[in-house]
Amino acid sequence: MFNRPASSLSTHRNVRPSSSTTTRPPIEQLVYSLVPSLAPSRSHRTGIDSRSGRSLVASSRPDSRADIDDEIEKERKERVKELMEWCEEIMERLPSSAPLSSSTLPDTARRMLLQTASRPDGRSASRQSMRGEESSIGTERAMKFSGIWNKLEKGRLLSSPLPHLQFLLSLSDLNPSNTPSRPIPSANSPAASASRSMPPPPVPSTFPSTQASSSRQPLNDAPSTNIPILDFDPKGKSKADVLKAWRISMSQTPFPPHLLLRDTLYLLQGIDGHYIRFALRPPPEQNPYLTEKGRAGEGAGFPLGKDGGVLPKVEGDEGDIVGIEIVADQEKDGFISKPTQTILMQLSEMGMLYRRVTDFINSRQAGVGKGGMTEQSLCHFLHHELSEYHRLLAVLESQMNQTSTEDMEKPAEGAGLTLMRLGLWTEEMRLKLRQMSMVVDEAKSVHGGALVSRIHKHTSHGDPLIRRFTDQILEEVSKPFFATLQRWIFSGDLNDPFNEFFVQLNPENVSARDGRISPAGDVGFEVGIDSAGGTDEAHKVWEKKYVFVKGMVPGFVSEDFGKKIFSTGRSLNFIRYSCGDSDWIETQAKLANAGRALKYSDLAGLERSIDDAYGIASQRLLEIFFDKFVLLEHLRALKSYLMLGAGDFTELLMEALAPRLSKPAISLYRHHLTSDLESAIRGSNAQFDKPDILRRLDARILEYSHGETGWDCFALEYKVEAPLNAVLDGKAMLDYDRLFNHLWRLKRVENALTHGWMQVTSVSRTYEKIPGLSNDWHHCRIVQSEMVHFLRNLQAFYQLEVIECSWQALIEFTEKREGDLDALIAAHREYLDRVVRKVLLLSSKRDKEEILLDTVRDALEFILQFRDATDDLYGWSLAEATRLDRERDTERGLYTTPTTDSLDLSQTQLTSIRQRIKTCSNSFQDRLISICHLAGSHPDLDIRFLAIRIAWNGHYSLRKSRPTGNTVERNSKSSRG
Amino acid sequence: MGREIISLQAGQAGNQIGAQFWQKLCAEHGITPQGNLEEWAADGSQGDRKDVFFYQADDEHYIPRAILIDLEPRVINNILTSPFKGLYNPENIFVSKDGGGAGNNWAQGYSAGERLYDDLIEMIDREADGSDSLEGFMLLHSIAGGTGSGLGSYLLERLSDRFPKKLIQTYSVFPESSDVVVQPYNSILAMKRLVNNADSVVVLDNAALTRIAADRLHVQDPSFVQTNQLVSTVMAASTTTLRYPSYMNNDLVGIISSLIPTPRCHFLMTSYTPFTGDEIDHAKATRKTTTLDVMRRLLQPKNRMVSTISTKSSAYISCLNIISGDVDPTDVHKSLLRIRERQLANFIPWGPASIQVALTRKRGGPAGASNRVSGVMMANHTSINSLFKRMIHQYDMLRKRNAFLEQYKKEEIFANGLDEFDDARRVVAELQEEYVAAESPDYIDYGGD
Repeated sequence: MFNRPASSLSTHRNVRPSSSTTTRPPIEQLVYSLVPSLAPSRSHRTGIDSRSGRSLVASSRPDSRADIDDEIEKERKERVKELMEWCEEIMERLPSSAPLSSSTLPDTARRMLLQTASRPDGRSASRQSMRGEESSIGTERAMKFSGIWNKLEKGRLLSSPLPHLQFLLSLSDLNPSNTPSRPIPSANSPAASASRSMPPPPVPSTFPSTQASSSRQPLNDAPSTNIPILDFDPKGKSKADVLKAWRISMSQTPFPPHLLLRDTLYLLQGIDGHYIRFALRPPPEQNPYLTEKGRAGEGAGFPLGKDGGVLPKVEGDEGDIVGIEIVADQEKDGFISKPTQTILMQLSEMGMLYRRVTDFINSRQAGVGKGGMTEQSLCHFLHHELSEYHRLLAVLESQMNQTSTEDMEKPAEGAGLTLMRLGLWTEEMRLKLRQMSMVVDEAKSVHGGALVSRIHKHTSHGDPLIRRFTDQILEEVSKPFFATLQRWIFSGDLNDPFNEFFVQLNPENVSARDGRISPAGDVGFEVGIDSAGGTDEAHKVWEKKYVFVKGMVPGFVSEDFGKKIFSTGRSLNFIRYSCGDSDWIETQAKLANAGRALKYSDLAGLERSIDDAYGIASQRLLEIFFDKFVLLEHLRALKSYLMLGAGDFTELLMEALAPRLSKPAISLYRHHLTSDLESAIRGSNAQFDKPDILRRLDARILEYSHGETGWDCFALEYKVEAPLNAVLDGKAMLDYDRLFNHLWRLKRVENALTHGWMQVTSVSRTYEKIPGLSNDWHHCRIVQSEMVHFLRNLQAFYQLEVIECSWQALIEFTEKREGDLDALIAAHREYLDRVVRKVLLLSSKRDKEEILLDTVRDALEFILQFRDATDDLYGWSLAEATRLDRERDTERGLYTTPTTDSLDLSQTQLTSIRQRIKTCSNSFQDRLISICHLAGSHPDLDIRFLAIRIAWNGHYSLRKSRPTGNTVERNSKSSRG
Repeated sequence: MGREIISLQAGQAGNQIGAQFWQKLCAEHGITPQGNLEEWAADGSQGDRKDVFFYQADDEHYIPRAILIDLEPRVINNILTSPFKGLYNPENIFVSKDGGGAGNNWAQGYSAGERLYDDLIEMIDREADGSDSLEGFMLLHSIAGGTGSGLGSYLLERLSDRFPKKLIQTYSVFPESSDVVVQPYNSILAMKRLVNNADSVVVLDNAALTRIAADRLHVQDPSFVQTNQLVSTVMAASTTTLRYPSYMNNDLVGIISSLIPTPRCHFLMTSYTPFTGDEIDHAKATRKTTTLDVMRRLLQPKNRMVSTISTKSSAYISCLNIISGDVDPTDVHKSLLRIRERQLANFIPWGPASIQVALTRKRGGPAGASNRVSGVMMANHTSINSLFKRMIHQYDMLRKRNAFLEQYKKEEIFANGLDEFDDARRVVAELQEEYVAAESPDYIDYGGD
């Protein structure tokens, strides 16, 4: 696309051949219509639309020249004048062979186009018409021409289409009167023509920049004027030759091409040439064309700081290479035509890119920037590619040397080097350089995985060449990534000195242990773990040691997959450092078998490897937890001892502790508790448990305040250390504590109730005969049975619906052993949460979370008070029985010790005892009704089922309205005793 | 260790049931007939508590906390020639020296008890002293005959005197009408002691046992061995929670306190399902049983081991299902809901009552042992009053004719008249009335002065 021949017509300003009769203004207008940049006002666009977009002046006439000043206006007028003179000159010299007829002229053009179909040289056809594109079939083009012509004629886009056409026709090489000419070696782009005819321009031509439109500098705004045509030979020479001849006549000798070539080769290496050198960006305010839109160029240019190390800004820095500047004295050394300049400029883009890339490499080697292995590897790759580039340059240079020995005037005949060829031969390299430069730019803002990710984005490029090249870059750039990845997923080491990986040490931890973390990489936590002993929670290590940095996940790894990778290495690391696994070697061997060399080009293999590694590592970690650290045994122990599942143990402990715990908390001694615990273990099936489990059990005295009894502050404790506390973390143990507290309380009440039953129901024979009390006792029994019913249902609910059902779910997970440690932690968490939620009857409502639990505790408290009251009734009954016996003895005349108790006093006692029993009963029953309501309307279905259990036979209504009356009724009945 | 229970087996039926019971317990705990542990049970991983019913001799052998008493040697001799002869402590076996038995006479048995008091109480004291924290006694007997009924009654009286704070539970086989001619006398006299001196009586009705053997096991004319196997199965099942401790129901008092709200109404009926060849010789295999099947069948009157006549107002005072085997706890939950939906059970109107479910999981067991779902129900049901009613009726029929009283008058207790008969009848009648009263909401104020 770079060696498309220049359209020769653009070298001539369109003039009407038969303008002898035309007055000056039409000519001027014609000039304006063709070169709108010269128009005095801003809206002269008449001629533009009729032209192809590729046309020289077409699309980018700047809209505003607000800063135009008189000088420019003067200059403009001069140029218009010159152009008009020149046009007239041309017109005078035009052969008038073609008749100027509106009917015949288009036909002639069409006919000529049709003829081109048979011509072998299709390319030349494109010269004929600015309307015709590069189609090679004449008919088609002829038709196209007709269409365009019709449009032109009807659309009145051109003020005088016929003269235009004739003019064009006369220039066309389709015109049999014109000899076919070779393409002009320079100037493939219309832009070339814009600056060609100019004297050395006051401003350097610029590279097109994609970065900011404001920095674009139009290439075509320099008015082209002042090209007098000296000699026009219609039948022999090409327009270029004509132009050349004219230039020579104007004493504008063309610049020696070999010098140009030599300079170009310098430019290609990013070195200023003798005559041409890189132009630096002038300070913005000095650039009068800042606001003008440049024509979009081919490549994307990127700003590049000269020192390479500065961060990119939206605006290019002063000093950026923005183009080239020709410093040759054209008067003396020769004239460099506009197309040549353009081509030079395009070629010099490579030089600029080269400079950027080498700057980058140099700066990185000098240690500027964040560094990192990815960048280093990128530099390596760039270096490699640049040496390819150097090789190419060397070849070109040798070519040039050959060329210089040959005839300069005929450079294109043989094998020599021309600027065009230079362009052709370096084209691929230019693409690569652009790509490299782009990557270099990316590398400035991001590093590591993110850089890989950015580069990866370009792999979806439509151009296979770019795609392939990007793949190559990636292959190389991702090598350190894959090396790190390999270490990570196969041995759990984070070998990432520059924080390029998407797994990173948690900064919190690093700062905490700053001294220990060497910048050389991951030293693991083995030091921390060992020195900290059990105090460092494995949970924290597992949870917090590494962080997953989403932004650093390379684009070709999905986030899910990244998580998998994260987990794999984490598992391995945990196995290695926290579990101290002696089987590590074996594991690693297994991993090595599974591991293939990871590389970018084998993404499928990568996924497989990671899946395998993930599976093995997770499996292994779970195995370690279940087999080596017998996690399940510990969970079972927690269930047995802290959740009181081991009934015989609990019973013995309760029996041994009850007398102690009834005393004030202050009189508790831990050694008493531990010895009681010890005997409870020895006396129950707990003795068969593993010593490792039993040694973790401990009795604890919680903090207590004044007046609390031992019951309030006793706790059973189960100690876990790393790595078990990865699962049984502090929060979990706190939950177990809460569970124990509540269940232990329940057990205590149960204990009290069964003792009560013995007294109230079983032993009743001894005092049954006392008159007037049987009703009291009957009521006590009825209320007590209600209490027993409530308590047992609550306990059965806990055991069956809550603990066993939750346990079942946990066991199901452990049997499957799916997922990684996270899954295990989650499963245990879920188990524990469920148990806590349901055992403590927590509600999801804010502030009312424990309302049901509090009611239950109240109810339990009333049971205990009731028990005290019935104890007193029992005592009273015994005393009364003794008194009655004594009376009987006295009646029979036996000697008795005088009684100190008067009958009245004991009757008062009885009344107060009855009152207490009644109060406790009523309070308990009220609480129970509230419990039924609260539980009955609880969001948790299971807790609702508890209400159903308690109110099974409808004794308590689950609805709110009824029970109050019920209670009153029952209370009134029970008060009648 | 604690919560020991001493078993007293008196008379022919008591010893037969006892022998079966100990066999079953040995099988469950992995104890050989010689008292050694089976290999699979030796590592302590069973989670069981053998010491409730056994103690260990100096040589680590397990010995049942059982006292075998009979006035005639036949049944005990059978035991002593069986493979389990080495299991029992010989000091705990008492056979009357004269060997004449009690002649199916309650009074004779009672008198023999008085006569043998020192020997018997010595054995009981020794066993009680050998326990860390004795929970109570379990008496296995029949109330129809002489020894189990009479001697058993005497023992009950003495036990409640001597161990007022210990529980006394009996497994009492109630007679079929045709067993012994004087069984109405024996029954009513024994019933008085069961009411007054026992804390909990598990009623096992011979009529129901025969019916169950016929219906459920398709065994026509079942032998005593088979019906006794039924009883021992129920006994073993209802003590599972004591022997395999879990979160709750680990002690007898816990179970009983939930079943028995008032002291006199302590007559429990039981159901068991499914009976299979594992428990009973020659029983037919049944299809796979689900938890719901088990819980539903337990509530069916035809599975109860007591033949009672239910009326519309008959109700459960309390009900405990002990389910063992591989039970999914969620199934229990679902079954409970289903049962409540269908209103399969009727409960008393004067207080809260519900079906309680206890799960026990016997861990381990010999390799290949099936862990089928099975269940036993222990329930306090008001319809049991029909049994007492029948008993009183039969007694009245016999007493009206003053038949067969001579043998009774020979003994000391009736030397001064037959008041004891009248008193016993009164006690049983009161019990029957109380059970009827418990069907009404007014029971809350029952027995007011």
